[in-house]
Amino acid sequence: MAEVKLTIDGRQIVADESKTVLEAALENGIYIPHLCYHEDLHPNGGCRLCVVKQEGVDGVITSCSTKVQEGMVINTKDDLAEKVRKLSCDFMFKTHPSECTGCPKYGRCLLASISQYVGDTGRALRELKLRVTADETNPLMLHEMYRCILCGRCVRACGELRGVGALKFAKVDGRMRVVIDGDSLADADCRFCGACVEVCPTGSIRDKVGVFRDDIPREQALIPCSAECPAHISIPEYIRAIYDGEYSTSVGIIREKVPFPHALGLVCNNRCENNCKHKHLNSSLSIRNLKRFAAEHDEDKIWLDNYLKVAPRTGKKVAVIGGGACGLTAGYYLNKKGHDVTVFESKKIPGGHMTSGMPEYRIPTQAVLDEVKVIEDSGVKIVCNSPITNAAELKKDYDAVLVAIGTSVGKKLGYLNKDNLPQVFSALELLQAQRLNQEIDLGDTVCIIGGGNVAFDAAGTLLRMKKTVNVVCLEKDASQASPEERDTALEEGANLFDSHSNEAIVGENGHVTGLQVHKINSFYFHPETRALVEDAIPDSTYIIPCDSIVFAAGQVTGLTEDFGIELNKFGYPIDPKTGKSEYTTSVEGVFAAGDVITGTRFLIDAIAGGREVAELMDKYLGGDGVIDEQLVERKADPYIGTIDQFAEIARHEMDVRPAEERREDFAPVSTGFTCEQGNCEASRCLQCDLRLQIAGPKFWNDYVKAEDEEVNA
Amino acid sequence: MKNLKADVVVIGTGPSGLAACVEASEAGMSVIALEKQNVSGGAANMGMGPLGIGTRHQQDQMVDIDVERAFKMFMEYTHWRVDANMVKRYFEASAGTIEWLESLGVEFAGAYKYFPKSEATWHIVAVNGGIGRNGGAIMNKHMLDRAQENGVEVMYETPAKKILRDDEGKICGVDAVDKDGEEIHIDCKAVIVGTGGAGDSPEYMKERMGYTYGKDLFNIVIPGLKGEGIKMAIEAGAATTEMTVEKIYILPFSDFGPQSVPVTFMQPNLMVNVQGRRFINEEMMQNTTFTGNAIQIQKGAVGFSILDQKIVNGYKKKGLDVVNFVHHVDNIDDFEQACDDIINDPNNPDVVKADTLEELAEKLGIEDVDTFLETVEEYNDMCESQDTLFYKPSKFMKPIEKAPFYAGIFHPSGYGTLGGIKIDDKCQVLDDDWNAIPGFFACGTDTCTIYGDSYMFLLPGNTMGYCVNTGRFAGEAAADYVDELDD
Amino acid sequence: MEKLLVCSCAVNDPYTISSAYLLENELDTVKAGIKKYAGMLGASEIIYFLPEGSKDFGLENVAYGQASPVMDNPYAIVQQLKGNLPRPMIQDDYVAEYEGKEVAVITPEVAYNLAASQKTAFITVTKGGSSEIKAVPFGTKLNEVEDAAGAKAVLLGGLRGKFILPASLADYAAGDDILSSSITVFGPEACMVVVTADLMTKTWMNSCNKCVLCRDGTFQVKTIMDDMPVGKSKAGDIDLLKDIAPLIKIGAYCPYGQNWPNTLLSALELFAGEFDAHTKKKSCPAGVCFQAGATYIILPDKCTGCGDCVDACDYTAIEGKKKFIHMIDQDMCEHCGECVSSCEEEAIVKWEGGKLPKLPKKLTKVGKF
Repeated sequence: MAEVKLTIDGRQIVADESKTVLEAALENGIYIPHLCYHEDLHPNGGCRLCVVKQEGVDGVITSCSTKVQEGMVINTKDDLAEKVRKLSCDFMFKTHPSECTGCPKYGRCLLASISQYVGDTGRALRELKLRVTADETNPLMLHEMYRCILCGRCVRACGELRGVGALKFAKVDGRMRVVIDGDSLADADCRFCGACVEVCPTGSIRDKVGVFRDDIPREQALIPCSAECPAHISIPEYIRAIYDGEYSTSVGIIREKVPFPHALGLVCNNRCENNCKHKHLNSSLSIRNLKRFAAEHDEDKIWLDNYLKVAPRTGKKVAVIGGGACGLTAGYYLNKKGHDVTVFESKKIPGGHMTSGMPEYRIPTQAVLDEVKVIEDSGVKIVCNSPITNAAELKKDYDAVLVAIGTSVGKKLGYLNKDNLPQVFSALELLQAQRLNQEIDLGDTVCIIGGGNVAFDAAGTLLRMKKTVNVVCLEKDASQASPEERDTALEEGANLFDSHSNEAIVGENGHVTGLQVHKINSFYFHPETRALVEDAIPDSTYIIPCDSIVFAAGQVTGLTEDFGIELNKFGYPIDPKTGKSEYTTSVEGVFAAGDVITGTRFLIDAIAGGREVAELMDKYLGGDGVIDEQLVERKADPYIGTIDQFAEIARHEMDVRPAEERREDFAPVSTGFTCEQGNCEASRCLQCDLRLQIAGPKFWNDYVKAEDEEVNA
Repeated sequence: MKNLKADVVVIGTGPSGLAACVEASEAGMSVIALEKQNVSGGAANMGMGPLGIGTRHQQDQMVDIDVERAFKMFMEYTHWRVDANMVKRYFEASAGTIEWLESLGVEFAGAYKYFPKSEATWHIVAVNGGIGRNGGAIMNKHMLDRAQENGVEVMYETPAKKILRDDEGKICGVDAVDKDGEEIHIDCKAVIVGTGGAGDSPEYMKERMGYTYGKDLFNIVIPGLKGEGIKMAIEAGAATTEMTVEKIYILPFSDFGPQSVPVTFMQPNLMVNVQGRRFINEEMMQNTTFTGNAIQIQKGAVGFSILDQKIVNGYKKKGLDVVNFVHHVDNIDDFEQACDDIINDPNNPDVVKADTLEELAEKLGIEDVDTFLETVEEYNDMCESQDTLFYKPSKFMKPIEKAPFYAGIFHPSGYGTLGGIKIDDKCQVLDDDWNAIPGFFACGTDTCTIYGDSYMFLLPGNTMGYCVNTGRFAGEAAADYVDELDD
Repeated sequence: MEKLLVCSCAVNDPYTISSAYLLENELDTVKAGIKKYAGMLGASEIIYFLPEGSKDFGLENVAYGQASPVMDNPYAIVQQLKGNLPRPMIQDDYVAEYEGKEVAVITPEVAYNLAASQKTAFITVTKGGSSEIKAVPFGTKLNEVEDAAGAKAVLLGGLRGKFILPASLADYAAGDDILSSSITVFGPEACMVVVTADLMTKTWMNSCNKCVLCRDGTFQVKTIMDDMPVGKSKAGDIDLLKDIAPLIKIGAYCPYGQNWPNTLLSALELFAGEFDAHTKKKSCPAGVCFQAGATYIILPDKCTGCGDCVDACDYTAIEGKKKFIHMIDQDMCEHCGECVSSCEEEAIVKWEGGKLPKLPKKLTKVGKF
């Protein structure tokens, strides 16, 4: 496009001939009041605030819809143009509530800011307030249309930008109003993307209070799912890629934040779904299962080349103790940043909890090993069967060491096993034995002590080993576990003894014969001493017959002082400077991350920990600490169009194999989404990130600064 | 983390902050102003103009009010329970400030009363010569323009978080966060706080004054006034003060409806409490502070303004008894329609209508209906003679006879809080044992305790006047302090 | 891009019926003109856009929609074809698109003259409540079309035209401009304030409501004008109208907004006396407005103080108490006469005679006056 030279307020401006006079002015820091114009929308020409004087043309021209021409001379502060602006401002304030007091948009209202700049005229025009009552019946969005000044931005944003058209103009009793094209937003097939809220200058259409957090920056708050995810995966983007059928792109987007898309898709505890805005319509997106769907349909792995590209070697050497999710994640990023990384894994295969702490039917070993292989292919050396006993020692041969051994030692409550009977194992020992097919001497009837997710993992594993399984826990209905985990195991035949407290493991001549328990009404742990306080039911003691016991009562790091770094009394590494478990430890250059400092958390927390400690360690090693990467191209088409009955599409659930059948083997409990289910579930996403594409409100004081800089530059 | 440096940091760019920015920058200081909203001007963008005493406008309009009379009236009104030095300094400087604003390009339409019994001290900013809607905003823009001409850098959407003092206790910096969440540290020698009180924080108002929002106070929430300036100041060692509310009374849910409803119910007719008794000379309803006070102490903090169809028809035909600039309507033709809209709107309980006084009393939840009927009967009799109960002038005594009857349910409200940071009349922030904290200044509503328990409405434009004047005092004081520091 | 030619027959304003007339009587010539224009443009499809409720004149591919002065703007037409309200787009390079085709517009009037040998103006002449079409060659002086003898005022060009005095008809000639689209004659008995108020209401209803100056401008002007015949206007109203009308003409977005103020300004100028009488003295020289209803009074000697009339009066205009002589407050009285029938003593009468008899000023007992 050719360039054009023109003069605005005495200043020589060069602008592309495709630009309008208003765009040319604004881009050069010259403020011309405008309200119905929005840089992402088609010019409208309705508010008349942007009128300016063009030499040689009588009257005024509409700067938002007049293209620049060679040699134009524009005067934005012309007296006639100012008069027209003031009249337009006057008219708008006669139909708008005259009192600003109590208006929630106060301080961010474009109309008030413009009337401050333009100044109304105090003419004795008639008060012609638009009398409409507030409409709070729609989910997510509030319509207080008595504030509306009919600039039409919302209609254009919904129509031409989004291609949905849920809002339109209509004359009601002779007066123009913006109305919903239907009985409700849902009825008008609104996509609830929030574009109308973003462009509305006077707060007539607003997000309902409480939908977004106000304690984090706006860009994060507007995408609640990504904000809640510890690794801040760009969730709307990867779901949109699925909807577009580009599964490999979707995995690429996930991999920009986490190296284990398939593993997370199988076992993540999906906290993001609690914040998904769609739950205000019916229920949240099935974000985790979509991750699994993408991972299981990613044939061409278009992200792989970028994934394997690493920075030139920095000459620094890093040792990672523990080949679990956290260690491998940190290892991948540090290697990517050019450091030479060696991961020491004590067991015979890497993957940590993923391959030895959870049952095969929830997360197949091969799936994990495939994802670990990619990390290896990127240059990370993994050495198995090599437990490290002293981090400080190891530090001597490495520039930095990361302790990421997690909490791989299951607690066995000693006071219950006074006679030290042999058939008493921790859940981790059981799960590890099954996953790594090691021998474990179990009887036929097993009592599991504990009611968390790990307890029901153990129950499922034992059922598949054809054992009779009793889960004994304090919590009513085993509320500690996620309902999904608990019910899967109970359906498969596990017996639940909830609201039970254990007294002792009983045995005869060296063999376990039962578990002595009693019933309780309620319990709590004393805040300071953390001792168990029970409201026991009197003389309810009895013995549950069994021949072996599995403890699922929490895990610990299993570390002692001779590991070479300072620990607190629970065996967690601490930084003496703060006395708290942090990424830094007592030894300079030795870092710690994941469950080993936070206690047993979920897979996503460990991975997020790996990312953060990698950033810290890269800085420590002289790098810039930036590990963000873009692996794939993706498009975010704002024109999303309509989907019939969009708001009513219900959440899809994966097909789960019947209990009798799935009990027989260790194959996955549920088969992932079919393509049809996957695409349809992905179509439900409100694509909250699209709203960030829309330029935020700009006020005259944002431009005036630019003008001054120009003047005294 | 961004690191900046300035002589003076001003927190909040309402009229106080802006005035401080102008004065400090005129005295050659480098100034950074932190504003958490997108625009500057604070609550005053809704106002119409500040107080001035002994100004040229008053002379032209032959208004005889001078500093002495105003000061005496003010101190008597507040029973000398306020800082007389600050009041005297503020009143004395007020005329100069009007001229100072005029030197920045502000034009004034003249000196006005708010209601008949008040003094003509309210200098309403002219909007194209006439009395416009947003005079305050125009005034603020002129101050902002001058501040920016002087090189003041205003950082929008950048709330201050912490005020820092060095180990000698002197002010040395401010921490803030910009709109992308990035932390900013500003090294400075002086800080001026002017963040406009805590009108938008029901929790802090409950903590400091015991009001429960929506029960005994329906505060007009001006978004952003969270009291952060007060809390930051206290955290940095400032002593606090008693906090009060600039009391008014409103129909809480009808702010955005047609103005004909509140304006008509605020006319001086019959006002009763939930026990069915009169409790105020309704002529006082023009003074929103006194009426707010009176309603506050009634049972349930509620007052019912009673009208009948005859009074409404009279207002339609012959105009209202009392008008003012803030609530002006061309006519009240849509009064009945607007009342029906409110009655039919489930979340707006402000108006009640009935065909008999008994039904009206029941709908209002008046405890003893007979007492209410007696009150009305007694009131109607007095309409023929005179108000022997509260001595209301007979021109406002209109009988309540002709059905249908209307009642407007008024609750106490406020434009926001007053006070919170202890200062002296040089706007220096004081610590608990009255020592001025070096480099620490505050102005405006956060510090305004000169009204005692009730806003002094007889000298209108008072709060905006206090803000602009103390903003100037704080700006000068900060500049002097920094100059001394440099020598 | 292919072209679509729309023959818009929905541009006539309430004072003009030429489009319907041409479709009814000159359809062939109009079609010929359209064909010719379509040829010039290379338009492959033609649609006739008719106002709702109009006959289809035997035409195929017809679309219906709202009549509006902006319906000669391609974008406005596209909006209606898509089922939205008509809203014009006035941009130097704007292309209005509908189903992949670029839309161009022609009106029956222009089409006729493209085909006809003799350029003809079809002028709607409205007089005494009836309208007819007068077809005259371009250039004919308007006074030859209609002399409006004895009339008080003539409105040329309907909503977008202006008022003139009958004598000035000779200064205007028939052509394709807006002024010769219609001639509306107002007889000597008309009150020009009421005529203008009615015209402003039509102007408001015909505004497409897209731009502030026309949407809110017409509504403000209509409200201010509606107050005049009922004596509710404010002192500064005339100056206010003279102040804002020229600015609307300059600042409005489309030709409609830039022209309707001419009718108001010409009325204010030609009939300044009538406007002042209404706003300042609340009197109507034409005797149309302020026909104060007859005055009603209560005869002091007949009234027994029973109070029935008080309840009968919807406007609470009657003062009085039991056994006191009741009084009518003339300011409040709306002259509806309901009270007369409510009084069994026939004490309430419509006073025909000029000067009122002596009436009590304050409450006095029956028989004590």
